[in-house]
Amino acid sequence: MMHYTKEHEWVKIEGTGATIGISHHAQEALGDITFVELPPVGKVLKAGDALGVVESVKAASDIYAPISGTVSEVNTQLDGSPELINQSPEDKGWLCKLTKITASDADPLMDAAAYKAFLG
Amino acid sequence: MNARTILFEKHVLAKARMVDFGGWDMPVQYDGIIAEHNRVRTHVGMFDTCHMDAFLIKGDLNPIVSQDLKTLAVGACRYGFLLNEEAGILDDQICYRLGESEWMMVVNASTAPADFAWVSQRIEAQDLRSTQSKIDVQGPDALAEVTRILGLDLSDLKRFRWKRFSNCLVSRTGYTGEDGVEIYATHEAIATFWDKLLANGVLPCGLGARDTLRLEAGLPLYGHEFDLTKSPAEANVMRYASKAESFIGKDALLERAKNLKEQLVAFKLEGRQSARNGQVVKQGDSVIGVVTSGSYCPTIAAAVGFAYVDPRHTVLGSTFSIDNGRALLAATVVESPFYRKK
Repeated sequence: MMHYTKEHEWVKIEGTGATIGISHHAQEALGDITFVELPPVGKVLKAGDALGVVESVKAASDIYAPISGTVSEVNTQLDGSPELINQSPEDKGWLCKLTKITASDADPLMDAAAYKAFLG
Repeated sequence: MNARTILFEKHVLAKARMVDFGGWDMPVQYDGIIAEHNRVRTHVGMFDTCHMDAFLIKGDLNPIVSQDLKTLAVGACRYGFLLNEEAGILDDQICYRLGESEWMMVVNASTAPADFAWVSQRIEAQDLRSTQSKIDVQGPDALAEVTRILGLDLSDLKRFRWKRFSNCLVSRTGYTGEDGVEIYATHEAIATFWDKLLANGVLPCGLGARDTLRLEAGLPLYGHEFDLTKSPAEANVMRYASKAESFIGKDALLERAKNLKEQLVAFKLEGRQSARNGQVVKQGDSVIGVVTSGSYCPTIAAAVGFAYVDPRHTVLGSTFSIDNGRALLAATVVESPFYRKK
């Protein structure tokens, strides 16, 4: 199931692993994505740590880890095709995968309905 | 509350994203900056530029502006600067020669009130804000589309020339690095032109695309490359300062040109990550300058920008780094414009 943060990341948790990206709302607000900086595989992240940067034509935005875990894989397709985030933010435009996850205590996650209500 | 152009409601209806720009509510994008940018490079796009201002001027304007107006023909227009006594740039502008001693000076939005005060203290001038608006139609098909849709014959209109029609004035100028026109008319006529162009397939573009287009074409922007602390000498635009004529700030300008403390350079970054306005330029540990504009530019598919740096670091091919607060981006000094139309 997808969960969301107030900073507009999404996280899909499967067992002890998770996939992370930015929400449809986030990509729409950023506009055309031109560059993505992703964490190195093996990096240990705590919930709330900056995990990377997404840049659009107009601005750069920090991306924060929604939960704690270890980076196991990054979406290397984004290097050459950062526009995947605009085209498919919550699927093909995923940013990275984590293993050994532990739930967030910093920023409670929202389910899709709660996130929709949060967006207003 | 911010000022609004005659086209404001149309932007809102078109679901444009609106931003504050120099005290004006302006569209930054409609369907996406890159799509809008590409539209202008490959076909045609139009811009609401009603926020810009124009003054109708009578008399000897030459002493007030940097460009040589003595050699400018009636029917032509020329780019230059308004400088203060220290050669600081009050604004960049274009002067249209309407008659032997009648001019239209076109200026930036945020600087317009101060410009008008400066100019009208020195020469007979009338602010056209209350009566005139402007749109830009830009792109390789711009002239053909304006002719087809608005019925304006532009076949004899050369670059940096203007032509008067019954309901508008059209100049073959722009701020995108493409061919195109700027159209001046009453507010009502501009709104009608906009609707006709839109209904006939000319799509609107926002300030976001206007910025990537001008940057890629190596065109400076007031408030970024130009401000009161800079003169045309540091900004590398001495070609827009008349050698023959005297004008306010000329003595100071020639002095500043002899002893440059900083100089504008164009740079290209190694990767796609952009440098941004205000970021520091470094050589090793020492700070050598500051970025004034930076963006990923779609047509050249590269991140480029402008920076003021120590004049010792302006040689083409020299390298420096830009500190974006988390990393040092590797940059190389390159030639501007970054893009030239074919």
